[in-house]
Amino acid sequence: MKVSYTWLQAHIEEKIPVPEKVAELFTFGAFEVEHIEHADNDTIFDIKVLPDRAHYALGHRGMAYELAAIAALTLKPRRLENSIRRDEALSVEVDIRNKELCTRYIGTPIHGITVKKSPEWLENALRSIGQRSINNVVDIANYVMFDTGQPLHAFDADKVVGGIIIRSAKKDEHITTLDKREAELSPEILVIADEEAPLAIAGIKGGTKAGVTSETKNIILEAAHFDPAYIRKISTKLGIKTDASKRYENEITPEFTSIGSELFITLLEKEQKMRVGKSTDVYVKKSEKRVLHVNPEFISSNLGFIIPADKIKEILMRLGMEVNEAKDMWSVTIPHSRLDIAIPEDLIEEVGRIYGYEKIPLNVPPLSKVQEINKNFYYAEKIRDILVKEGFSEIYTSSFENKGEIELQNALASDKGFLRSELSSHILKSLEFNVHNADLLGLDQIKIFEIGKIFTKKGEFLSLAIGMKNARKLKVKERSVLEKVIEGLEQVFGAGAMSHSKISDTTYEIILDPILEKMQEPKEYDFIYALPETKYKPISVYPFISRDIAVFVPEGTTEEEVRNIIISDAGELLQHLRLFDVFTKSIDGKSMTSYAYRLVFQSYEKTLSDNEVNEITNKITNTLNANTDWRVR
Amino acid sequence: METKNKLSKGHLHPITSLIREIERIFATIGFSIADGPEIETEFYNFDALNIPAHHPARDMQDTFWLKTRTPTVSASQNLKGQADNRERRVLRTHTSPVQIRYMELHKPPFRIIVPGKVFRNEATDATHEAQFYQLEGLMVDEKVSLADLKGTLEYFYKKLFGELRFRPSYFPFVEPALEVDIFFKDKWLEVNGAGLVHPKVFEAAGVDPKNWQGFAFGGGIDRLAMIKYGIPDVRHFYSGDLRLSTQF
Repeated sequence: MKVSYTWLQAHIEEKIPVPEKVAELFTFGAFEVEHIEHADNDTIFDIKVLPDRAHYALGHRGMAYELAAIAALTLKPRRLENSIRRDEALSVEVDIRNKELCTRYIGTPIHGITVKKSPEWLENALRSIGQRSINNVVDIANYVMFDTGQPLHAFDADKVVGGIIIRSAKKDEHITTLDKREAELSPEILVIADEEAPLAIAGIKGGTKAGVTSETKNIILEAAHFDPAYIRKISTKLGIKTDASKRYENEITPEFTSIGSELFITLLEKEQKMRVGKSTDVYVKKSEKRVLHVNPEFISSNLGFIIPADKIKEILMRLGMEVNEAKDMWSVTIPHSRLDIAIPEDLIEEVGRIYGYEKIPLNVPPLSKVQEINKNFYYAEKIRDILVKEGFSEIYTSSFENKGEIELQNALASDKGFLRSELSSHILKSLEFNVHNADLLGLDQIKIFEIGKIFTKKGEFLSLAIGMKNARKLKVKERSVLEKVIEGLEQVFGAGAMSHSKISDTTYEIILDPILEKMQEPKEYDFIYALPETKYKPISVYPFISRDIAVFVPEGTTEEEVRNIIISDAGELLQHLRLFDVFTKSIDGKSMTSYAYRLVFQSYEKTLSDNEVNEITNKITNTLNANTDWRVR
Repeated sequence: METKNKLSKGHLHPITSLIREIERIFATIGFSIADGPEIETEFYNFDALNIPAHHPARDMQDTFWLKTRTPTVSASQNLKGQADNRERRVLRTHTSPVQIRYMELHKPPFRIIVPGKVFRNEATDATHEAQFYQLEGLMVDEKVSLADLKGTLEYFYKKLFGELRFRPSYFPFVEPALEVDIFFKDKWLEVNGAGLVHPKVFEAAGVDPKNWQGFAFGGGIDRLAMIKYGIPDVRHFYSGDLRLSTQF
């Protein structure tokens, strides 16, 4: 929620701390301040209000209440009295026909008003929190909502036929909302109606039938309370989310309705002469203040350190709670607005956050029981260690697929509409992908595996898939390597344990659950603990270029000598260097050794051209050839 | 530049290595590894964790719903919960359902950690993936306080990163609810949600909150790996690209 510093200050007696300090107090005392923006003569905080505090903090009054409690400041009392004498002859009939969904409705007729441009203070206040000014009536209603958290609505009284009826919509009824959208209604939707037709979708959006216009002279002010789950369900279904529906769906106290109503009248009266009628207040079930019984020792012991009882009492009182101390058990009366405080445990957080979480000491609980060994985890790690030892590297791939047995209702993309029913298809893709990078990786063979969940109609299963592909022509066949690895696994899991399975030329997959089930309970973990201390080297998005250089040198010249020259001449574009062939033979009577290298070049900034790489290899060739009796082949 | 010949030995995925390290650290203070299914019922993923239907808290996690009501647990997994087949299925949005499943089958006191894959229906970018790993922790004993939670988390994070701090937050399954930040390389980073187990969660799992207390915490393992190794893009972890795995 956007919160204005100036607006906050208006609710607090003392001068409030500077904006940065206020942000810090909020962040460590109540909610996260995500952003601070300095505007002309004001500072705007963007504050993340989570559902628990949304009951009371989606308005500046609630925010000021928090700030006052956290910083031990004084909240100004609400001044709602106005000099208006209510005209008893003027009233509106209110008929709530669904008392489950609408639990309070205050309708107040206000006559003889002029709809006009808002005064400057009001325009500024709304603008500061990103709201557009419309006219004085709409703006005051909005101002009241952003101040108290209570949504209000004004109807043009002259367009309302008869009284206000809160009822379920009829089949085939329609409404045109204030933003000129047609909405189809149905009996599960609650509407505010007159004798003829719906005037508004209750708690969500007003309609045009009795909308306030510049011509409006008389209004009916609505301050109401609706069931939160209902508002959430219907606003989601209709796809209409408004500032009002957001507040209702988070549940606000019905006590706010009268405050909202009175504040509207007080503010409008400041602007103009008008005739205010009697408020019709249908309050289905009056909200009672909750009383919790709590022992201060309970709060301290849950926080893990002693907070003096009088300090706890002071904090609760700062939060507007009344504390009655009767022996050890206190009766704590909770303000109407704090619907989030329902059980004694809720008071632990209230005291802890205001007293300061930083004061909580550190305690590592002493050991009470020996650790249990998780069999699935143990054997999955065992398999990983065996495969890594055999030269296989672990990959993780997506659990989503474009085909499978289990379909998602709300997929992220059309090619991710199913859960994978095997790992092999991803392993195959990964083999193809990595073969292209074999030079860069310095590998002749791509050897990979994944252990992860697969999903079929029968349930979810832990699967192991292994993949192997030669990156260049090699004598060794992939399948024989896979078979050898399976044999290695069977030394742990038993002969034949792995046989019923899918093996192809390059992949192998097996469901592990039944195999692991037959295994003995392990005594302790014996996998290798070594958290790599590597620093991640970025992956370049540009293609690489490979070149081979082979050089004859007199026998006895070390490989290191040759290598150092190449590295030094190649510069920083050389990503990988690998010696792939060495032999010695007699040339013109001299015994010469040939070293053959593969050089891989890649840039982090651009696609390298052949010419750029040729320049580098020419330079290397020249340097190598400059040595007596060295000859690049 | 890389000049080593990598033919001989393969590499573990960096998240696997990190999970091993997490296991090692928590083992020294008595935590065991627990696991649970990736397909969950609406009950275990939400209701039992004090997140009822039509509550705004459901918006805090974008959820993948399944069309089919598949069995949630494979036959061989030693877990309760061949749950009601009428219940809607989700891809678990957090590892917290394992709190309930574990408590249904085990008598306190206990301490568990749950490293596992979770899913969120969010557009992917460098810091968001539709799948990632989470670490859940749960300790239940006769007396458990926020000081125990703070001590335990500090014990863990000090070994990998640096000091930590608490901020107030909201997660329906804990009360009080906290956000945990760690200090690493001159910055505070948000890494964990945590708090004391909510009495309603104990009740849903059949544990009497009058006799038992607990703390729970949960946070992303991918994020820890990204911070630890300076990996800029979470999507690298799931690309099947050896240019990542072979660095570790």
